[in-house]
Amino acid sequence: MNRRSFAESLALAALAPALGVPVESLRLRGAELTLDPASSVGPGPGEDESAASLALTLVEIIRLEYGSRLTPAELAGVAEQIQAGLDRADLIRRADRSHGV
Amino acid sequence: MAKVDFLTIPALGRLLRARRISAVELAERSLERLEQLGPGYNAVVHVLREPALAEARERDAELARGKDRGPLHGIPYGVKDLLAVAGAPTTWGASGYRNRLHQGDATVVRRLRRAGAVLCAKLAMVELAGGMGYRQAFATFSGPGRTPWDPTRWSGGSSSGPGAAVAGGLVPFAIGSETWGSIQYPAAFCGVTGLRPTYGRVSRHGAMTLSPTMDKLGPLARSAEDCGLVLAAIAGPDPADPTAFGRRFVPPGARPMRRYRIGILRGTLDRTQPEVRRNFDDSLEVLREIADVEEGLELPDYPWDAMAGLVLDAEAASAFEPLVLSGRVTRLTAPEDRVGGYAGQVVLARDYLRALRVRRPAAAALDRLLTRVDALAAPTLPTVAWPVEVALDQAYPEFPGGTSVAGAANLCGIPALFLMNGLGEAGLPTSLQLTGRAHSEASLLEIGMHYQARTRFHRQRPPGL
Repeated sequence: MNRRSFAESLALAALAPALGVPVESLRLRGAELTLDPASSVGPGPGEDESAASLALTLVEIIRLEYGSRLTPAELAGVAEQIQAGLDRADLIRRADRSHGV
Repeated sequence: MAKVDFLTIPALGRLLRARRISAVELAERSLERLEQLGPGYNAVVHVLREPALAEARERDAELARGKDRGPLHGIPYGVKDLLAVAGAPTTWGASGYRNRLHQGDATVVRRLRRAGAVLCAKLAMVELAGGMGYRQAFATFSGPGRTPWDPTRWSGGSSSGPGAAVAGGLVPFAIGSETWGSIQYPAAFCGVTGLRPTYGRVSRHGAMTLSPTMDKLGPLARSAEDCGLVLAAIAGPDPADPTAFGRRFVPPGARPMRRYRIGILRGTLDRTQPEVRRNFDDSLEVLREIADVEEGLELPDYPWDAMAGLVLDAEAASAFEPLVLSGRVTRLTAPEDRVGGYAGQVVLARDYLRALRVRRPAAAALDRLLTRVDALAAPTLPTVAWPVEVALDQAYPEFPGGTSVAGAANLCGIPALFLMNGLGEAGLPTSLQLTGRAHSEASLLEIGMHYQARTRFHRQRPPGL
């Protein structure tokens, strides 16, 4: 394992708990962070998977734009905050009885 | 010279008009205390000695020729360092802005000058008013705010300096801001009276923007009466801030006494310190002399804190985007603040807009509850001031507090008054919170004045002062 892949594996290990997915389901291919859909230990089907995927996508935006400034631990902290924000959004969605009006 | 350090605004005004003291002497005394005691509380960013003395000389000259600008004439004060003052740095508590100068004065500063008050200092604050999610008192370049009641304890945030400066007798009043808790915490931890006005009551022109739909400016002072006098001077419409509304604020005082209605939310005393609970019960006994008390009210069922948090995150991300994009965010003091601005950059528009949409019926439901009472009473905070050296969430984890209206109230922009109501653990202040409908500041202040007329807590001084 070279230095770069060691740093990447550290980042993935830090990110996985923040995103609520097993570390085995995360892949860093080139510059892209993905959730492995074929992983046998990935998130559950349906909504959970979609939510994890959204969180991952948002974390990836931050990683691509600001990753050079953030350590793996810091990126994991950002991932936690993003997940917390999505959880809040979900609570609000459940309380929304306005049908968009 | 008369002993002036802890006098209220009307008491200082009487001395000034009786020529027993001059505005210059008052300003000198404040400047001296700001310079000597301010550093011990990390309360002061910039002392405005020369401009203050020049203003004070003008106020004395005016009084000598019979011009009296009203109750604030010649009264020293300080502002939280998120308000622009021409000629002085405005730092927002962030080291990257230590030397930044704004061209003009904030509307609040201009109005207080018009009312005759004498600006003596820019006061310390948590960096960016806490908009990056700080988790410790060491979150400003000026050092952790320390309460005069015990400098090993935090003065609260984000209006740390205004709270400590009033409590320490450095200034008779100060202007703070609240987006979610930033007048509430310093008022409670410093044992002073704080007023969070209705959203839009006070122009925010010239103030740092954290959350355009939640930011409010308001006074911290020695009494409810003082808060009313200050609010009367700073309230009102402003072409420079379209959210500032024109509804007139008349400070209480002239209206006949009536019997009030006080509501208590179910669960409001859960998981609070025993002393906080005891002092709140004692406060209720005092309030029962002037009010009927209804217990067991229910906060409408909405995810209040989630909504407030999401709106704040999204709006702060927009406000501070240049700081994050430029990388200057890495120069903030607290390590968590250096990375706290990234998550907000990816809040989805659909989620933000939904939060704004749900806020409308939620605010209407909250208002329906509040029409039943003149005020909801609660402990301002579940504990006394937290130790400076301990992470904020580790200070009193066993006392997180019960049902709180703070998130809902800030989200919906309704006012609250915070009053010291006793001493708790380690001889530190505890506080009573009164929350009312939008535009109900006068009623809250009236209740507060009646409460303070029947108690002496607002006259208590920190040990040794």
